[in-house]
Amino acid sequence: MVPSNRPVGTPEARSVPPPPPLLVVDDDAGGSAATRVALVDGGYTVATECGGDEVLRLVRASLMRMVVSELYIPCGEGRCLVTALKQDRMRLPRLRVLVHTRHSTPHDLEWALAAGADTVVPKPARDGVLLREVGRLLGDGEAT
Amino acid sequence: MSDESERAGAAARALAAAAREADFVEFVDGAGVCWRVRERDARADPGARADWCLVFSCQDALRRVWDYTPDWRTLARTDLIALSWHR
Repeated sequence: MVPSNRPVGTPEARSVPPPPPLLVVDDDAGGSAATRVALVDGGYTVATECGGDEVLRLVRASLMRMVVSELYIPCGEGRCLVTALKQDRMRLPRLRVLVHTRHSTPHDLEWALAAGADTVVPKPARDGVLLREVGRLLGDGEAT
Repeated sequence: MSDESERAGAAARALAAAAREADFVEFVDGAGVCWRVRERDARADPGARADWCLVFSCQDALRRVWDYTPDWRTLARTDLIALSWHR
């Protein structure tokens, strides 16, 4: 057993549920790393992936509540990963998808909504903006 | 119903939907961020929870909101701010 310097039974030691795991999906390693750092610094547990089909497999096999994805990630089950995730309401009824994208023309943003995105945050974004929108989708944000 | 009247009906519905989508409201939140709110015909969107949704957009984000009432255009600024946090 790994010793803990936190006494058992103190308020800190009682079961505070861990932040829900988020999956960051990006076809650009630099973009993925930056998003991951921002979310980890915000207190979230984060996994990263770059392949659309692998993401589908991972999300369906886990209790992941949210995917933070680039926009045009190819996927075998739809015109893009976001569409594949959102149209699978049978298996993923509660999954939230935030599109965090370097593609930010009006056409791109419309495309993201048409793909089913719950929220879109264009890059670059201040860390506070990304965390605000993740918090909103997960239900732990506050109105300003 | 004839093909012609069906086409006319579809065209009228499309025009009505386009007009509904073109209407928008703007407000400034407590952080000084300007938001625009519009309705979106979501019938073709994957994972749609209703035929229509609201889209809140500002310079750095777009939010989709499914849970809203038909009188959203007349809401006060504070109510619109609160509504933008719905999901």
